[in-house]
Amino acid sequence: MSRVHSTVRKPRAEAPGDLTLPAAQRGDEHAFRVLYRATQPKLLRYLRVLVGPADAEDVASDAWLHIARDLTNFKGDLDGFRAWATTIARNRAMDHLRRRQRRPVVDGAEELLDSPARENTAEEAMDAVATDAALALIARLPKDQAEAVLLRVVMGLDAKAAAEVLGKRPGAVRTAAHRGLRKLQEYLDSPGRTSRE
Amino acid sequence: MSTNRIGRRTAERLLRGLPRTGPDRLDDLLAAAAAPARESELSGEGAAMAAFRSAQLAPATHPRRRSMIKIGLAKLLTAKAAAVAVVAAGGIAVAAAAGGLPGPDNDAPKPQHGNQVVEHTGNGEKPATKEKGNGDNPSPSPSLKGQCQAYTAGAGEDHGKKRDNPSFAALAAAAGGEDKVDTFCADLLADKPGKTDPGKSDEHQKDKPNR
Repeated sequence: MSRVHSTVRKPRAEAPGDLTLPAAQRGDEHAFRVLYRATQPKLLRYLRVLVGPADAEDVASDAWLHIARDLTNFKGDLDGFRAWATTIARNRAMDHLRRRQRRPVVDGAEELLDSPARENTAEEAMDAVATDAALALIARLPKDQAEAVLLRVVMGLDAKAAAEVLGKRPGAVRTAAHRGLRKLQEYLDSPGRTSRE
Repeated sequence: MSTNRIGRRTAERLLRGLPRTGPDRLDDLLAAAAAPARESELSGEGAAMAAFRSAQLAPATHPRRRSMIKIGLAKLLTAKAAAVAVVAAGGIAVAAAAGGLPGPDNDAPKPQHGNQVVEHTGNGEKPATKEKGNGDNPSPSPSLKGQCQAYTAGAGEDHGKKRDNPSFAALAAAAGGEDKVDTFCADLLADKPGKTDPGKSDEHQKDKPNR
C-alpha cells in the first residue's frame, strides 16, 4: 500500500526490492546505499518540518548512525524498515528540539548552511521549489496534522504504521491526517497562501 | 466551503498517493511533497556509508555518546553502592555497639555480622558494649565516620527519606538523639571527640596502633 508512491508517482532509478534489506543486514554496501537513497530524502523532508530546514540534515545524519549500527538487529520487511527508520529519526528530532529549547537561539548563522543548491537542471530546480513550497505549506498545519500527513504521504506509511511511530491510535492519526488535508485545501483556496512563515 | 469537498474516502486515497483523486491543486501539492529525491537531499550519503562500514567492522561497539552515558551511569551506581555499603556497614556496627542487633543478650555478634567493622567497635569488649544502654555512645569508629559522611553528603536533599532509613536510627542512637545527629556528625567529621564521652568508651584503645 505504502509502496504506491514509488510506482505511481515518478519511480526512482533503483527501488529497494525484497532482497535489498536482508542483503544490507548481511553487510552488503550496495544494498545499504539503495536503502539510504530510497529512505533519506523522505526522512529529510519529514525532519525539515519537524526541526526546521537548518537542523534537518544534522538530525538525519544522527539517525543514520543509529540505523547503520542497529540494522543487523532489525526484524521486519521493507515497510517495517521505513517505519523503524522513521521512529529513530523522530526520536532524534525530539531530542534535538529538547536540547534546542534549553539553549539560547542562535539562528541566522545556521540558515546560511542550508540547502547547498546543487540542482542541475531548470526542471529539477522547479521541482525543488515545488517540493519546498509544499513542505512549507504542510509546516503551517498544527503539528499533529502535519506529522500525520507527512508520515502518510511523504514517508509512505500506512495508518497503522504511522500510528505506531507517533504512539497514538490509528483512528486518531487518520483523523489528524484528514483534517490536515482539509486545512491544506483551505490554504490553497484562500488568498495570500504563499506567504511563508 | 472547500472543507466539505474532501470526504473520508477521498482523503484516504490522497494519503495513499493515488493520483487524480482529489482536488487538483491539493493533489499536486502532495505529489510535490513526495516528489523523487534530489541530489542535494543525498549529501549525507558518504557519512551514512562510513557509519555502515564501521558498524560492519565492529558490530558490537556503540557510538560514543551511548557508551559515555553508560560509563557515567555505572560510575554513579558504583559510587552509590559504595555509599550504601558504608552506611549499611556502619549501621550494623553501630547497632551492634548500641545493643540493637536481635538475638540473646549474652551472644557475641555472629561472624556474619561481625566483619572487621564490628571488631573495630567491639575491641575485645563485645559483651560489655552490648550491655551499655541507649544513652551510651560508642566511640567514633571509621564506619561511623563513613556513615556520617554519607549522611551529611545527602543532608540537603532528602532528609525525610533519610530518617526512615534504619541506619539513621543507629546513627541517632550513637549521637544520643535524632536532633543531635547533625552536630554529632559535624564534630566527628571535624575529628573532634565531640559528643562522645571519652571516659566510657574504648576510644583510647581505638587509636592505638597495636590493636
